[in-house]
Parts: sequence; structure tokens; C-alpha cells
Amino acid sequence: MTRSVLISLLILLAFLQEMSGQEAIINFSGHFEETPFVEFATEVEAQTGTTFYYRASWISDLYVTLSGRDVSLLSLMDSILRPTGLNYYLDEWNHLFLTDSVTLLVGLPDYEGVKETKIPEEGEQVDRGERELTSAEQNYIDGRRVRVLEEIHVGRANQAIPGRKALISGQIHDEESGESLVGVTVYMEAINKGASTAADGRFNFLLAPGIYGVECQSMGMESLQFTLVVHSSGELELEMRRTLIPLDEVVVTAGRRDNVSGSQMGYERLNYNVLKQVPLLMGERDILNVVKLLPGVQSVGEGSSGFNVRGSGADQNMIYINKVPVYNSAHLFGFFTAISPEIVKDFSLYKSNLPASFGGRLASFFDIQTKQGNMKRLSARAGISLVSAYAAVEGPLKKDKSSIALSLRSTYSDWILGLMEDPQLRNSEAGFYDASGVYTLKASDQTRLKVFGYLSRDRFKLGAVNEYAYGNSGAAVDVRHRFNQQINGNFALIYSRYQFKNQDTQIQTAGYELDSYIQHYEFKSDFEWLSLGRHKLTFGGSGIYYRLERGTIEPYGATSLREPIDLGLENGVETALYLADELTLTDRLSIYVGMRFSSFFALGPTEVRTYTPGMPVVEENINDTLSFGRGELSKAYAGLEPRLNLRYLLNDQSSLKFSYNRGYQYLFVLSNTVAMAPTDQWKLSDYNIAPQFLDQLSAGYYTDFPGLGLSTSVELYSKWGHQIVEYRDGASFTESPNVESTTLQGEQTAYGVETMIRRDAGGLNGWLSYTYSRSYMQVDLAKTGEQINGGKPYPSNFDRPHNLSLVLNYKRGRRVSLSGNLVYMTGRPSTYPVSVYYEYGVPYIHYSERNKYRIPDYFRIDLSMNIEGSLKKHKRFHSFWMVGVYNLTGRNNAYSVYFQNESGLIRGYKLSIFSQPILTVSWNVRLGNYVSE
Amino acid sequence: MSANNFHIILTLILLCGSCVEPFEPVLEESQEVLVISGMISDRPGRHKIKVSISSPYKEPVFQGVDFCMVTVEDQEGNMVHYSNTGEGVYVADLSDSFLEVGDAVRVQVHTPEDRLYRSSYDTILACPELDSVYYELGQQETPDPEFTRPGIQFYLDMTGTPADSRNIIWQVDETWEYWASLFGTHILWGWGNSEEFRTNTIFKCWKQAPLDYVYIGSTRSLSANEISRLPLNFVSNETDRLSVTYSLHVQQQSLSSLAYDYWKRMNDQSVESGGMYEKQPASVVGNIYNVDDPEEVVLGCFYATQLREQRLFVHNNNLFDFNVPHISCEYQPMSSIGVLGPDLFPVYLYIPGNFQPSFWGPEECFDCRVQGGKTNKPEYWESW
Repeated sequence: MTRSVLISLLILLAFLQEMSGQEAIINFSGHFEETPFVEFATEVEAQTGTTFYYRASWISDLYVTLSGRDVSLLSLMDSILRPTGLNYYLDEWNHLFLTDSVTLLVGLPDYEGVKETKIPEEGEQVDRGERELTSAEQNYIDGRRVRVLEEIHVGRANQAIPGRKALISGQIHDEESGESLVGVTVYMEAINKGASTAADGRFNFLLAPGIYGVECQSMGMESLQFTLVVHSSGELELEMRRTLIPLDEVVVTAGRRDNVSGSQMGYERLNYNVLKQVPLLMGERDILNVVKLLPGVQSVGEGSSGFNVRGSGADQNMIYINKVPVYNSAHLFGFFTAISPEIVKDFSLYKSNLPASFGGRLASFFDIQTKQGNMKRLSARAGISLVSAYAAVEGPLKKDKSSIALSLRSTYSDWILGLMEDPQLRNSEAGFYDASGVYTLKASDQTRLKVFGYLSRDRFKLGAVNEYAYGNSGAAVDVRHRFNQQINGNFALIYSRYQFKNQDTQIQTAGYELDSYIQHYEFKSDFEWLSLGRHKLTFGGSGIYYRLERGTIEPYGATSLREPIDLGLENGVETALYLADELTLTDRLSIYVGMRFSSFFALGPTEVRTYTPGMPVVEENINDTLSFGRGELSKAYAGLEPRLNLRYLLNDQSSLKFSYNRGYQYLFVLSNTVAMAPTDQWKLSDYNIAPQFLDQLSAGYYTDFPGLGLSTSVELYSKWGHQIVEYRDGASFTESPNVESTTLQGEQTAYGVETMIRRDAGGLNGWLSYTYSRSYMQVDLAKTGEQINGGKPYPSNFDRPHNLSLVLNYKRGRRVSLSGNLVYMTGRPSTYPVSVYYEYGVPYIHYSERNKYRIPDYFRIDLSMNIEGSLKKHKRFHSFWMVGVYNLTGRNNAYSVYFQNESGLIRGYKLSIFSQPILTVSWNVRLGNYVSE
Repeated sequence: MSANNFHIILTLILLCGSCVEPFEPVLEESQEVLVISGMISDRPGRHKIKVSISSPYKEPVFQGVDFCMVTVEDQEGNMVHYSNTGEGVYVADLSDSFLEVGDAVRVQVHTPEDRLYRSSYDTILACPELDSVYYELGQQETPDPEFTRPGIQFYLDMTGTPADSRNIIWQVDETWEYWASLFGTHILWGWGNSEEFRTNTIFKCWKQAPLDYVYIGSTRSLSANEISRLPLNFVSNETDRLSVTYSLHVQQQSLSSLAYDYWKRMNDQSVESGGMYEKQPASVVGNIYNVDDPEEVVLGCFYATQLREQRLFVHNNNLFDFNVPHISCEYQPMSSIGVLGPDLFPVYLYIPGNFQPSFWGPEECFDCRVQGGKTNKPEYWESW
């Protein structure tokens, strides 16, 4: 930060010198347990001669718990007063004034030191002083400081080029941990210009030399305001400080102004703090359960793996964790997410308007950023719940230079299975664990290196007849380098693997074992080029090599007569190049234009069948079998993926946005079940199965009500999916390697409107969203005459028209917070009987057209309460309890409705997953105090 | 195992009271469609084809369609005419040599409404030998971990040559003999209305019924055309099935791959629907179509098969290590008969004479037919 100027530090240092020797040291001793503040004050007054001044009503329900010898009064006042929101100051005569508002502090005496503020010349080192301030001291000093906006100078007057704008690039860090801050809104009200920081905490502006008022805002951070004096192009580095009231934090961080002025649409960003608040299932914090509360996101049902975005299948979502794709995000087949929330810093969901740098999935990108490790100090957390325990630790390896973060989680759920009624279950076992680690190195001011590793494992044994084991592993090395002031580059090497193993001995002579995996090797590079006037160029490319072993069905067990079936090894390469420009046309209108060119090469060794043209793709119509050697190209596909986005500001508080994008997807999941099943396999596009692709149009209106702290949005979208893979009735994927004869490719249409109101700040925050959406499939292949549902459109499994979610968080005092959600959804489509018939005395069902009916609607309320341990600032550990009730009303929400033959009668059944309220408790502990992470 | 088993497991893992409860769907329609189902085997004797109309979901009943013209023909034009015996049943009594392995036949049904339905040709494949049907004593686990249910588990073994069909359907029916509890000498129809009646003739009954499901299997994915220890039904001691003699009759039939796919899907539909990983249910369309209107939905399947069968008897001659309940009654002293209301008649009396005390008892203790069985002994019955 040679050229950057941080005035506040100077103020502090100068001031510190002034006041050293001046501050009265007031120490006291004693033991207080739930002592009324009045009593506490009387005792302290008696011991120290201090006099307290306050209004009795302010502290009527304030109690003090602490004990110690020679404790510094001032350093404790913060934590004592925190639950009340009161401030205090001490004058020279040891009068301690409690105040209910900061305004009282203005106009305090003795701040002459401030006048010594100066701007260091270029190259001059900023003296940080010998001694670190405690935060109590800091607060004390801050309280006495006059609220003068700091001035930050960038560049030098003699370098200014007349008539040309200066490029200001900045970076914002968390003052405490040193982590770069993502999504901070940097805003200049006077010229109505804003930006938000990228993944590395950077932002850029092109500004004419001059003086600007700047405000930086981010969730959980104190607002930072300063005066920016622009002389010429240059850099600045800023640090933001955490607010001391984390439970008061904003919930949705795509900041207040982003909603209107940002170009994003169909986009949500949430962070760890949301996870901390939303009610839990079985005491487990879960990322995907939170995501399912967002507009446009649904799931097939409770405990089903994956989620559906805007009426699309779950395999059309990309889940990235630090750029590593996660091919199966489910623990315990979907009840929990295979990513421990303890390593998560924040996560973003893109539903439309995809940046050109993203591709390969049609419906959404779910981008999880992990913590990078606190660069300043060590922290640790741990917790236990009914089913699992976790521990996480992070800290510097070399202060301000390198850091690590590690997290571990494991279940001990076998004991629950032992209690089961079902005999088969009693003899079953289940378990999972996951681990992740991040190493971050600030190699230089220009270069930052991040190494990430991830592992998750699940095992499940059903009685003596079935065993499953599956897991993800992944790693990424990510280097970010600033070539110069204009060009940033990001290079990543990525590896990901998902493996699945299944042993089935249900029928001894047909016992089998199947081992399969998908491996993903990727190189990705992204560049930003900033100095082109109103343009911001991004470009880059990626190459992925897939190795997908669908596995061989091998005989398992001594008596098995299974004939091995090789389902095939697939090789493929997916490449992409992209170029995009974000262009500010006028103060009101900005446009993002991008083009991505993706291609896929299916490679040998492989044998493919060709079929008689115009005939159904089934065994009977095989024409020929083609053989391709190792590395030989069997089929290539390519597509252009335009991305377009317009934003027009109607006024300061509202805007209109529009976007169009196309995407291609070169792999999919083989599944013939409504929810993703554990046995589902990934499959690459191949000679016979063309890639799926999708067009999406969306438009939105966004408006804010700053006075109320509310932001609102209405988004409309329409999607057209092409060559979407559907399954023939009764398809089985483990009998033949030739998937093309068990699938058909059809057209998908989906449209909807998503509305959302949210409040990000204040004692009561949260969001309310309502979505109306439809989703249809149609399979009517003119060429071969093959159809599903007689060629007529039918509602897809994800067609749930009405969807309402309400998420509320309410904080009362600092030790207790309450959260609740309410979810309502139309029941998902289902196929019902329209008549019954008999063959050989056994009844069978004649079914309606596919998905013609719906299972009953879904409704659920959850509540949770966090109870924090004491708010003492100086303590070794902080603990908190989380108590939650899931499905408060105990409604028997239908997961599915089905019909089966029972003792010669057809009976209908409704399966509910959680049919009564579920109370859960978890206990968590971490190093440090209330505000530590 | 079907992935569906997971739903139970997973939800129970979480111990949070997942539940399955009866559900009555609200249906806007009832599509009643024609069903033609039947098979023809290489055996001489009686062959059946049933023609019916599916019934509304809420009132399930077999609705036979009579007065159709039903014929089965092979590719050479040889034809068998079936005659209508009522309730949608059509039968043909064949001499020994109408069909052989390798022949292909189809059914044709001409309805009174002048609509013509046909199946596609189905070819008879050789059926593997049915080596044995056998049982083992076993325990069935129950929801109470402390308690298991004793009984017998049936299995079968089958060995075929490579030339034999790889796809099999087993139709299984059971018959069992059971006895009433007491002998009587008189029947009391009401007060003052009795007659002498020795109950020996209504003491032994036989009940016969097909199992509620068909078993299918395939050795397509196996290296040898063999199946061993294929589990059939489990008969516990909770009913009186094992009380005297129990008989299991297994018909093993070869299937063409088309017919196998049909039955596989029928089986999936009836057993494996629902649950967490449910598949999209869909009506299973077989090989029957309307000749003039291929769009019409017609259900059922006609297939040709080579038949192997075996019957196994299980006698309760103290081989079981568990007790099987008989109908259990005790003679009541005549002094207690005074409390009988008029709707409890008839009752049976035991009057041995010779100044011995007399007794009475309710009908079900003397008349085995009250339990639903019939008193005529099946021809194939083997007593011990």
C-alpha cells in the first residue's frame, strides 16, 4: 500500500501520543453473577471512586456476570453495555456517562491532534506505531473522534492528463482477518456511480480528476465513508471493520444498492451468517436448505438430493466450491449437503444472466466461496448435534502473508438405525464425513495463491443385501495475478472426482458389484482488462478433460452367475473461449455483451451403434457398429452461447433490467426417478446423444425503499430447453451400455415470475418471495415417430406453480435471536390411476396421462432460536446453543403419492417424510468471544 | 433392491416420524378400457383367455365382456376357436399337438360392437427345467426386535440349457387343508328346532387361491441359464395354512423377451411404485391393438409359452419347530346355552347319549366352511 493513504491510522497514532499518560486506569475486582447493573455500579463506584451517570430505565433489565481481579473497567464496559445498545464515556474527573445515542459524543474536548493530519508523500512509509490498540481503546478513541470525513488522495496532480479520466482501482479487506471482501458496494452518490467488489475484493472506477464522496457498504461491516481526491490514475487499499452486532446483520448481501444499480439479475448471494440463522433440520446447518428458500428454487421433496431452478432438472445445476465442481452434493442421499457450512464464506446463485465465464450447465451456477483463513489470528470452532459433529480451525501460518482454514465433519448416526422398527434397517449402517482445507499465500502485492482440497464420503449398508459407498474429492490451485494496473489474470488448475460403489446380493445368483466414477481435469484462465474508457473487458478460456467410467457390472458373491456387463468408459474434452464487455453507455444505461464458444469432443476408445435413420433408436434397428481407437474423435459438437444484459436506471431507486442467454450442456445424469437417486450416473454426450441446450429470456423491475430498508424485485423469465434427455417408460440403465435406446430427447418450456421483498437490516430482517412458474416437457420425435405421453406436452416433475417463502429473523438483545420460515408450494405433478383391471386375478392400474394430477400442497413452518453465551469480551471460549423446531405445525406434507397392490387390493398411499414437529438442539463452541468467527 | 427402499430407510434414519398413510385421490375421470389377457401353452387341455373392461378406481371389480369371437391362430393360418363360458372367460380344449416350441401365435378378438383387436405374434420358447420347489424353516423378522415370526420360506431352483428361454414367469397358487375344531351330533336351528346332524362331512375343508403376485425372472445377464434359491412366498404360523397340509403349485412358463418386458413392467408397477425414488408410473401397454384404430388404448398381453409345473406338499406331521393354530374351541356346558340370542343360531350340539353330559358350541367350531373353504377334496390332493 505504498501509494495508498489511510488517514484514520494517522489520526489514531497522533491521538494516541496525545493521550498516553492521560487516560485514567480504573481497575476493580469482584465476582458478579447476574448482578443488576445498579448493584454492579455501586460496587465499582465504591472500589474506584468513579461516578456513574445514567437513566434508570436504560439499565433496568441489564445484569452483569463477571469475575476477576484488577480488571480494567473501560475494557469491560463495551461488553457489559452491548445488550443495551448504550454507549459511554469517561471524563477527566472519573465521571462515567452512559448515553443512549452517539450524538452526545460529538463535541467532546481535546482532539487537537487531528489537525496534524497530513498526506504522506509517495513512497513514505506509514508508521503503524509500536503498540497495537485493544479494541476497547480503539472504541474509546473512536468515540472521542470528531466525525470528519477522511480524505484519501489517489495519484499525483502532476501526472494528471487533461481531458482524460483516471483509472482508480481499489481493494477492500477485512480489517480483522485480512480477507478480501466480496460484494462490497462502493458508491458515489453525487454522480450516481457504483461498483461492487469482485471475488478478490477489487473494484475499479474511471473518474475525472476531482473530489468525490464515497461510501462503502457491506453486510456485517461498518459503513466506510471518505472523501476521494482523484489526481490521476492510482490505487487505493481500504479496510473495513466488522460491526460488533453480527446478529443484526444484513441477510442477503447483494447489497441494497446492488438490487437496483447492479447489473445482476436472477442472482442471489448469501453468506455464512444466513446459515447461522435459518432454522435447522436435525441441528445441521445446510447450504442447500437455505438455497431452497430463494425464489425460483425448488426441490422434489424433503430429503431429496439436488434442487430445481426455474423448472429444470437437478443435473442442470453446477455446484462449484472454490471452482471445484461437485458432482454429487448429497450426504445421506440428500438429507444433508456434502459441504460443511463451516468452511463456507459465502455463496452465490446465478439463475439467469450468466457471466460469459460460466458455462456447461443450463439452469444455474451455485458458486461457493470458502473461507481463506484468517491472516491475523487463530480461530477455531466446534459443535455437536444429534447426527454429527464438526470442528473447524483457521489462522495465519505467517501473519499477513499466508493462512490456512480446515474443516472436518463426521456423523455417528449408526445408533439411530439400531433403534429402528424395520428389521432390515436395524441391521443397517450409515455414515458420512467430509473435510476441506484451504491454503492462501499472498506471494506479493500482485500475486495471490490459493490451494484448496475437498473430500466427502458416504457409506450405507442396507441389511446384508446392499452396500453403497460414494464420495467426492477435489482440488484446485488458483493463482491470481495483476499484470499491471489494467490487467488482472486468474489461472486455475482443477481436479474433481466422484465415485460410486454398489454391491447388491438381493438375489444370490444375480449378486453384482458396480464401481463407477467421473473424473474432471480442468484448466481455466480468466482475464480482466480495465482501461478502455467505458468498457470493462473480460475474456478467457477453459479446457476440461472428462474421464467417465460407468463401470462394469461384476458378479458379486460366491454363488453369483452374473455375466459381467461393461457399461463403458467414456472420454471427452470440453473447451470454451469467451469474451465479454461491460459497457456504460450513459449514466443510466449499461450493457453487458458476451459471447462464449463451447465445444465438446467425444473421444475413443469406444464402440458406437448407428441406427436405421427414421426408425426408433432401439436394438432392432441397429445399422452398424463403429469402432474408434484410443483418442480418436467419434463426434464433435460446438455451440455459440451469446450473453446479453441491459440495465436502465429509471431513477435512484428503481431500474429495469433485461437479459438473454444461451447455454450448452455436454453431460447429464442418467436417472429414471423423480428425485435424484443414489444409483444415478453421469453420462457424457456421445455419438448418438446430442448436447442439451437452452435459451433464456428474462426481464425485471427493481426498486428500493431506503427509508424502510426494503428492496423489492420482480423478475419474469422464459426458457426453452432443447434436446433435453427424458427416459422411456420403464428404462433401466444397468442392463446395457447403449443409453440411447433407453432415452429420448425432447423440448422443455418453462416460464414464471419471481417477486421478492427483503429487508436487510434492522432488528427484524428477512425476505418474502412469491413465485409463479410453470414447466413443461414434450417428446414427439417427428423423425422416428417416438413419443412420450402420446406426443403431447406434459408438466415436468418440477412444475409447481405457486411457491411462497417467508424468512424472518428477529433479534431481541444480543444473546437471543429468533428465526422462522414459512414455505408454501403447490404439490408436484403426479400420475394417478384412472381405472383398475385384472390379469390372472391380480389387480393392475391403468394410469392417467403423465403428471396429469398433483400431490397435495406443501406447507411448513420452522422456528429456531440461538442463545449466545455471555458477551464478555475477554474470554477463551464462546459457546452458543441452537434450538429449533422443524415443521412446527406437524403437517403431513406429502412427499409422494403412490398406489400398490396389497393382498389383492389396489391401495393409495401418501408418504410424508417429516410428519411431526422435529425438535433439535445443538451446542457449538469457538475460540474467542461473541464476535469471533 | 429397488431404490425405493431408501425412502423408508432414510426417513427412519432420522427417526422423525415419517409416515405412510392411506390416501384417496380426487379423480376427475374414469377411463374404462378393454383388457385382453391370456396365454396358450404347449400342453393339451383347457386354455383360457379373458376379455374385460377396466373398472373405476373406487369400485375395482373384474368386468368380463361376453359375446366376443375369440380365436388364436398361428402363422400358417391354423386356428383355434374359443367358446364363451360367461363372465368374460373364453376357453378352448385342445388336443395334444396344436403348438410346439418355435410356433408363433396371436389372438384375435371380435367384439359385439364390431371392433377387431389383435395381438402381435408371440413365439413359444423352450422352458428350462423346473428342478425343484422346496422350503426351509425360517423366522421372519418383525418390527419388534424381540419377536420373530416362525414359518416356512419357499424357494425354487431352475436349470436351463443355453437354447432355452432366458425369461421366465412363475404363476403360483396355494391350496391348504384345514379342519374344524369339534365334532357335533345335532344342529340347533333355533329354540325348539333341532335335528340330528353328524358334522364329519363339514369337518375337513380345502382352500385354494392364487398368490397375490406373479414372480418373474431373467437370466439374460447371467452366464448360465440357472436360477437357484429364488425366494417365493413365506408362510407364517399366523394363519391356519400350515395346520394340516399345505400345497404350493408352481407353473413355470417361458416368455419371449417382449412378453418378459411386459411382465417386468407390470411387476414394477404393482410392487415398486411410490417412495422417495419413485419412477414415473405409466400404464403398461402390451401387444394388443385395435386393428382399425391403433391409437385406442388396449391393455393386457397375450403370450405363448412352454409350461413346466410342480406341486409341493407340506404336511404338518410334527416337522415344524413351532405351533400352528387350529381353529380352537371348547365344548360349552349345556347350562350356558340359555343366554343365546336369536341371531346366534345355528349352533351345534354334542349329545353322546348313554347318560354322558351334552355340550354345545358355535357354528365355526364345527363347520370348516365358515372360514371360506370347500369340503370337496381336490383331485390332486395328497393326504398323510
